[in-house]
Formats: sequence, structure tokens, C-alpha cells
Amino acid sequence: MKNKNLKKLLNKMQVDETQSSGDFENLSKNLLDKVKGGKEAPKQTNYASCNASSCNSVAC
Amino acid sequence: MKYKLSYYIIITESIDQEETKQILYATRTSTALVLHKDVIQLLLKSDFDRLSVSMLQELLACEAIVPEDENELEELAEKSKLLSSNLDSLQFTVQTTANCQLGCNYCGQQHVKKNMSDSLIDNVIKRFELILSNRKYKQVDVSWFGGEPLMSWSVMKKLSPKLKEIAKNVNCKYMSHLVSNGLSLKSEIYEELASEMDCTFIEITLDGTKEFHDQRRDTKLKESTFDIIFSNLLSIVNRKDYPINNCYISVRCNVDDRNKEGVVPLIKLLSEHKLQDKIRFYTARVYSWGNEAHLLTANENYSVDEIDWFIELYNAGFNFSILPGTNPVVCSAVTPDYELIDPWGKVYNCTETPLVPFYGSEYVIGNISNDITNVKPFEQRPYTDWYDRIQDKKNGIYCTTCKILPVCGGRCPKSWMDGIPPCPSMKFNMEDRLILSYIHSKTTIKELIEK
Repeated sequence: MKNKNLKKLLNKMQVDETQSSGDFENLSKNLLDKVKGGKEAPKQTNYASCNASSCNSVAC
Repeated sequence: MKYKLSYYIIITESIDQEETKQILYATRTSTALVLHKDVIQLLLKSDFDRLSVSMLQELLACEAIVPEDENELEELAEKSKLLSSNLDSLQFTVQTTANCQLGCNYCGQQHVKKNMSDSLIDNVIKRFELILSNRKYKQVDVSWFGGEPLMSWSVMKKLSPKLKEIAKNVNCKYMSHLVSNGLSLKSEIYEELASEMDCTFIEITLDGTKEFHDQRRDTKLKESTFDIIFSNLLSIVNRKDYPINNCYISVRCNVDDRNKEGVVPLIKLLSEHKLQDKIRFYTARVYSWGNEAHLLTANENYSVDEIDWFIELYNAGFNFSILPGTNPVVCSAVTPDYELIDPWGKVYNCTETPLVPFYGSEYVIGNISNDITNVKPFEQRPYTDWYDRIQDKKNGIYCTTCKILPVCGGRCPKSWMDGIPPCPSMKFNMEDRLILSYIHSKTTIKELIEK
């Protein structure tokens, strides 16, 4: 973990967190549910490959 | 069948106090699983027989475990090659002008007062029609790019209805998007873009709050631009009918070491105006545009700062995922029919080379000012051997051994050709992204910060 603020957040959370049941958790699915479950959030992108932002477009 | 642990996995450190849980991220499917450390150990020892059936099924489904004899790099590259050549959506970029009001100090373009002529507009329309008649596409996305495209609004207005009509005639869904500096993006222009020109998003750029933005995105006459652009943004997003036809505004913040302190204040400003659900926001590290702008930022510093910005965005109530999707088609340049037409009729298959003096005629793939068929075939265009190049270590492309290749794709073939590795921040902060995603999925970041 490289980010110090992230480490602080994780430490704060661990106090409250209880063990999850079952073999595994599908984090990707949980995130998808959370993002979709929010308000009508516009799709976000987290990086751009070029100045024309074609990574926001259909082909990329 | 015998299996092996995929090369394309990333495993985080423990994420709980008891040190029993870790996140395994399979980049081939961009799937993150929270697993017990004992399971991780079994995986690392390839002791798959001791996994439960449900666990094994999940790991196979997300391609964390793959057939033992599979050459994964070849599999990925060949699939991407096949997909790139058979896309059912077409990208088409029109650089309607070489003019721009701004003089951004990291821009590589050379601007002149040149808009597309009427005769070239006719040829652009004919070229578009020819491409759509040669191959069946389900949808087409026209990108309005410049310079500043809104400085050639009349050109866009002439082209748009014709391009729409051509797409309609071949039963192809038409959409467009605009990349603008935002200075001329008045509310009524937005309305026309969204309602008449089928714009699905409009991207503008704010490089921090006023004190940061105006230092680097001023006009060529050294006039400030932040207040005008921000006022335009508010006028649009505060319309009662926003987003017209679901056309959102995307705010990009180009960052280097000179303005990185301006990102958090900008996020706060956007949230003070309650834009969390109204806009997309993202930061992009400034990189070389045929110049040395990439030297203004240390990539590893950017990747650490970016996690702070994600935390700030979550804290402010922006709702999005920081885990990428898979990226099997790295760029429009590797697709068979992608073209950009510049204001003189020169054709390119990359948005970064036109108007940039650094890039010479070897990047031009045609010129349709007199003859709409005067364009090189796919095989003779730059970058089109990308998926062969990344399979050979001798080419000096790190992607050959990179674990995030499936979600990155190699990012920018042109940059590799320039000798500048374009590796994205996620290469350096994926573990932090996974841990932040885990926290975000379990709790509310705002409440956690306020504890």
C-alpha cells in the first residue's frame, strides 16, 4: 500500500469490520451493485489515452 | 484438464486486522475477489485439488486459473486482433478547425486560423459514406475535435445533418461527442449539440481551480478563461432539462507537478455546486504531445496522488468505480476503418499527430482534398501491427510481461513508437485501487473520514 491516507482509512475500517461468511466475496460484483445502486450516476472514466478522449468512446 | 494460476493476477496485502483476507484481482476479466489467505497460498502452490468446487468454478470463470498449456499473451493478443478487426462500431473523427483560442503551455498542436472549406466538407461527407458502404456497422461515433471545434461551429452544423442522414440510410445508429475547451460552450450550443447533433457527451477541461487553471489554460492573448468556462458549465448543468438526451458533461483535469495542488480544491468546488451526479470528472496525467510535457510529472508520484483524489471524490459524493474494464481494443488506430480528417483534408489514424509539428508526413495515411479514395489501406497504416509487436520482447514494449495488459491494452501505440512508455497510473497503484474499492464497497468513505 503506497498511499498513507488509504492506510489510515483501512485501519479505521478494520475496527468495525467483521469477518465475512463463505468462501469468498466477489468484490467486483459488490462494487457494481453499489455504483448502480446509487443515484443516477454518470459513467466515470479513470484514465484517458489521448487528448481526443477516444477512450471514452465506443471503440475503446 | 490441468490448470495453472494465470500470469495476469494481482494479489494485495492483507486487508483485515487478523491478516486473513487478501484481494485477488484477475486482470483478464477485471474481476476482484476477496479471498482467505489460505486459499491464496493454495493458488500460489497450484494446489487446486484442495479448493472447494464453488471456489474453483469462480476462479475459472474469472480466468484467475487457466489451462496449463495456454500461452496467455498469445491468447490475449490474438483475441484482441480478431476483435479489433471485427468491431461493429465505427469511430470517425473530424478535425473541423486548426484554430483554438487557448495557448495551453503543455499543448503540442500548432494552431492557425484554418477551418474546413466547403469543398472539403463535401469530400468528408463522401468519404464517410464510402466507409459506411464498405462494411456493415451497427453504430458510428463521430468525434468533433480540433483545435477548438466550436471555433468552426458553422462547419459542424453543415456536416452533422449530412453524416446523420448517411448513417440512417445504412441503418447504422449515429452518435457523436465533442472535445472542447469549454470557452464557447454556451447553454444554447449545448442544447443544439445534445438535441440536434446526437452528442452523447461533451468533454471540457479544467486544470484545477482558477488560480491553477488560469496559469496554464489562458488564451493566446494571456486572458484568463476559468470563470467563463465554469460559468458555461453551471449554465448547462443547471438547466431543468439537463442532461438533454442523456448528454453529460465530462470534466477532465490535466495534471502535472505544477497544478496537482489544485485538484482537491477543484473537487471541492464542483461538490459545493452539487455537481456530483451531473458531471463526469477525471484527472489525466499530462504526457508528451510531440513535446516534453511528460517530463513535468513523475508517474509514481501521480499514482499516489491519484488515490488521494479518488478518496476526495468519494468523500464528496461522486459515485464511480476505480477498477477499469478490460481493454481488448487498445485504440481506434488499430481498427480497420478509423480515420481522422484534418482541416486540409489530410487523413490520420491517430488524434495525437495532426497539427503537431513534431510528427511528419510518415503519419499521414491519405489526403481526400481532391480524391476521396486517396487513403492507405489498413496494412500500410502506422500502429496496425500492434498485437504482433506486443508479443515479441525484442520490440522493447514492457506490455509483453505486464500483468495489467488485459485492462490497459498497451495504452498508446504511438507513444511506444516515440520511445516514451505510456504506462497508466493503474500500473503503479492497482493494489491501492483494489483496497480503496474494498473500503468503498463496505462503507461510506465520508463517514469513515469523519470518525
